[in-house]
Amino acid sequence: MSRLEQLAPDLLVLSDLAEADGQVSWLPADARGWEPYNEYLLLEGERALLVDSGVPLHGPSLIATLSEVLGSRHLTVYMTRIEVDCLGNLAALVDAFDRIGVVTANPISPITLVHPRRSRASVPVRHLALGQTMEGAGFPQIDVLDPVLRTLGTSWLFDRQSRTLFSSDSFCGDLLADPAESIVHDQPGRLDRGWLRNVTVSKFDWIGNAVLPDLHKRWRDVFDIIAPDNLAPIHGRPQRGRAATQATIDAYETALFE
Amino acid sequence: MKAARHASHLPREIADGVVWFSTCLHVRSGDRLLHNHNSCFLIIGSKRTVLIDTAMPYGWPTLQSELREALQGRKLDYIFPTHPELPHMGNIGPLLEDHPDALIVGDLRNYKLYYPEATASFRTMRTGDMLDLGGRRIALVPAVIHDLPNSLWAYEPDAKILFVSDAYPFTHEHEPHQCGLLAEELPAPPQPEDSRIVIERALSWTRFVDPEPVIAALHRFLESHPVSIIAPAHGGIIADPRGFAGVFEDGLRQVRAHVPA
Repeated sequence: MSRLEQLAPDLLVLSDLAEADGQVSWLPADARGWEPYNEYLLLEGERALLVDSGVPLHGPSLIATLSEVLGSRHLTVYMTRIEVDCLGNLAALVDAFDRIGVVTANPISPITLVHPRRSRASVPVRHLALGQTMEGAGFPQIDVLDPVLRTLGTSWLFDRQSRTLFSSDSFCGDLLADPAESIVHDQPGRLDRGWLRNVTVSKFDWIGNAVLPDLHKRWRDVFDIIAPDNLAPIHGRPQRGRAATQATIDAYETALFE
Repeated sequence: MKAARHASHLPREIADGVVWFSTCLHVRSGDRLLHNHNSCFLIIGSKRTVLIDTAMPYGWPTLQSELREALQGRKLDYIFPTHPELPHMGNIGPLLEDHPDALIVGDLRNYKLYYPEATASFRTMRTGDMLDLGGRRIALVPAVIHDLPNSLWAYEPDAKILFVSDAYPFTHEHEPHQCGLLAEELPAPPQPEDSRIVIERALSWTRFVDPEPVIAALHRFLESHPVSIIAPAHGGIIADPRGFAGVFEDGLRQVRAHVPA
């Protein structure tokens, strides 16, 4: 079973841990500790929204956990990217759950990128544009955002109700020192800025060649408008609460632009 | 070779023992319906074979039969995904079912998370490492232009073929037989705009990066790796690399120029 913690009312984070060993490309080779791999589950009446699906290594625990939590709810799976850490269990999900639909802002249909046992045509896929809401999928309080940092076609989600930013592969640098710690982090001000820069550049290696004033303007354009209370990355510890979240965003901004 | 049914049909033999397979995506750009390749390449040596990239999962049934025909009874010995993005490696699972002795080679960081049941088939290789296929070699070289950081390109130094994964992309028109044409055979020569459409989607970091140092790095690489054929994953085969260079480079420049102030 995946670990389950609450990030906000009716918003759960499902996590499986992997020990950092230098064998993933989005972490510096000398990273140590335990890395949470997260999916987020928003429960709303007879509907549930799963943000991303995790890696195949964790597929059995994800499916087992969802089978217990979902009940008879219809499941909508939102894909923030077409990388395997987001799409890795999509085939397993559509094979495990009959009442399921897929939503993405990527022009490529996620179902064409995986190998489900059931026919691809039987899985409803809805494409949204950046800047739209998820109203058509039953979640009108969720906005689809153009992310500040991206390598592949990526979208972020912002839930205006819980004020949670689902940030895909950004803000992924907070690892656990001890696997027994809580996955969710809610204390501000303990992240090392050198580490945050290293972990961000490990994923977004083009930042080293970026025209930083342009990128910084994009950052400000986004975070001057939204002020998240919670930060929900696909890897690393989610941040809960306004203080921890803002401290984390500020720490990354300093690490990348100063 | 049997795989090359007709010059404009895929799969197509682009050099002796090098077969091009592709599944095209339809891309809408304004009122235009365009195609964009998702290609992979089989290289056949006298002793061993390698598949560079795996193309799109939804195209697997076609690729499976085309690959079987192209192999003509030979084993597939190596699968080299240039990087762990699904249009490039998403058919590893069914490929290993068909070819259980094949080895997955390349920069394999992350793959234990993606194919935990296949770790015994992994052979990590790095820049400068060489695959000996018998009578021909494939060198793994830096992916000068890439999306994911653990990307590598492949270079066949004898025929001077460079397999560039996400670099040198361009669209072609939604018309019969264009999918299998070389860039130089298309009825209308590719323009920088045709490359920009793909670059800004597949290499979206180009919005934030000055293209000139990137182009300079590419030139330095090409000075030490002479090429006669460029084989992109998301564009047609380029048989005149020098003539096409400006299309890709101006496409890179256009992405940056189109960013709103």
